[in-house]
Amino acid sequence: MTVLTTQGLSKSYGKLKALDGLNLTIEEGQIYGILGPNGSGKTTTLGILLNILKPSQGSFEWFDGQYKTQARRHIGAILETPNFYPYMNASQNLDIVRRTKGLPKQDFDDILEQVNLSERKKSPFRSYSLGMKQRLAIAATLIGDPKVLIFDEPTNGLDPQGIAEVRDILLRVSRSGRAVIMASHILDEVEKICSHVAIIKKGKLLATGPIGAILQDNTIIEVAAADMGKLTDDLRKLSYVTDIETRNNWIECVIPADVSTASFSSEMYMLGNVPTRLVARKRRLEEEFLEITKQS
Amino acid sequence: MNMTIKDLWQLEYAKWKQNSVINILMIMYIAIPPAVLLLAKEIRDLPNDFSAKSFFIFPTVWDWLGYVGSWCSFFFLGLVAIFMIVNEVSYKTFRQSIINGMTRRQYLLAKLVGITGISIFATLYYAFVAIVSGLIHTKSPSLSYVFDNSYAIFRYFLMTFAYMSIGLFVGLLIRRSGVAVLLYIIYLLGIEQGIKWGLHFRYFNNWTINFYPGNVIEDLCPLPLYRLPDAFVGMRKEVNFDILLPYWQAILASVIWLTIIWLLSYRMMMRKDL
Repeated sequence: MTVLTTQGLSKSYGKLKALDGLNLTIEEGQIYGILGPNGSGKTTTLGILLNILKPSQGSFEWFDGQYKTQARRHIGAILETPNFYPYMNASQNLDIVRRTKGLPKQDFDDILEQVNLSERKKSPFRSYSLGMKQRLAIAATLIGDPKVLIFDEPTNGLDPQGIAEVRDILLRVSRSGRAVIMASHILDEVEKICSHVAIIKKGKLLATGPIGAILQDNTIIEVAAADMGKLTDDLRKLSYVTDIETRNNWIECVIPADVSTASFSSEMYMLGNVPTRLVARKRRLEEEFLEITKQS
Repeated sequence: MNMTIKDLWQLEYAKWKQNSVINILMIMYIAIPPAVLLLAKEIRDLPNDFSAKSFFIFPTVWDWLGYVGSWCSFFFLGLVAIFMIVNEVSYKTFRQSIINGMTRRQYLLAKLVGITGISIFATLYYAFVAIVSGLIHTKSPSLSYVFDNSYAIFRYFLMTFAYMSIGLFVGLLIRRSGVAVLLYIIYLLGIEQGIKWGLHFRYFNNWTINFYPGNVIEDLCPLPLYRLPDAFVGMRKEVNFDILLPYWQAILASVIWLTIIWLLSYRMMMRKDL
């Protein structure tokens, strides 16, 4: 089943185009990261998909349209901030969510246990730390066993311990087989949790697909030798070596996936360079992200 | 999965139950009319052979208490309606309700159900206080005497529902508690009066002056003195229209205004970014 399709989704605020013709398809079981710098249109996108904002143009459809206007009852979502009644405690707030979703009475011990809030379930929401508020929001998304979870900048503003807790919970809930859509500007987070990624900037979709496809297979080599001048010249001679750049004390370059680090290394040696440093690594999403957003 | 009227009422009630502002406003609404009646007992007879007894006895208690209640509804229940929306805007639970799966139409319907429920409660309470006061103070009341003029109950409900509808509309329009409360009170007490007596009275000195929304609602439960012909014969000579609408006109005009207010609220609810 297709979870979500959007067609040419756009949103303008006067002259400013917050979102410009977004086309996305999200399938069952995908953990989809929407990645982009602040102000790139991530929250606008989610706001439209959750019927909080009206699109200026374009359309979207949840679950192939099978639930019509009731689709959001099958979605658990946090947009921007955890939104609850400050004077109610955790259980009471979750019960409001339960009523809002039109579900029969249930107890929330299990859900509160999952986000480590059992001990504080009787305290009013206003007394919670930001991390606890965010965890309660995650708990609320789990009510009614939704088919899709949506998280918008889930670790924004949290302290390191809070970030660790929330990420841990996100990893657990995202392995439950549901589709997850997560907006973030933190690449590390997306890389650790998501199976797919869409990169947006200034409201435009720059790239989308499985993380593996977005991450190129090329290997990045960091190499240093006693004679850096000769090393650089020799690297230039090899046709498969690209993107040669001088860093602090070494040279960084890219070799294709089908050239092994060992053969590169021996070739360098034969040309008379004895490496004093040799590091081979895969390109990380962060670099990919900078690369992609630089081009646009 | 579909929500019944009962579900919507229970959802709204669960939201107010622990909200201190709404609770205080409701308590004020409950406490003030009997308190005014008790204070009025201290009043000796008024000029023009007007007996203070009429405050308490059938059938005039319906009118007097209706007038007191109309101020309480205007102030306390109107503010309850405003806070029903602006509180949720400031907690962002307004948008979260939609995110969690209510349709925009359902959300507005829940507010309509809430307002109707409170209006029914407020009206029953008014009837209860009026009947208790009437039974205590009227000499040998017969049942027909008790409910003579009890048509005021229906007008009272319409008045309460109308003030709350305006409150909700202003809340939806402004969405900030301070500004919304101020606009609601200043419009009904000041701006409308200003338009009526400053502008309208000067240029269109005719019956149309009575059909402003605040005025038609006020005329559902007016100050009963106005019904006494002598009290404003002088005034009547100055203007060439009745100062007070007949009830049927006040009811009809209120229903028309309420239709407009709810249509505008619905339009806002369906179209605006939240």
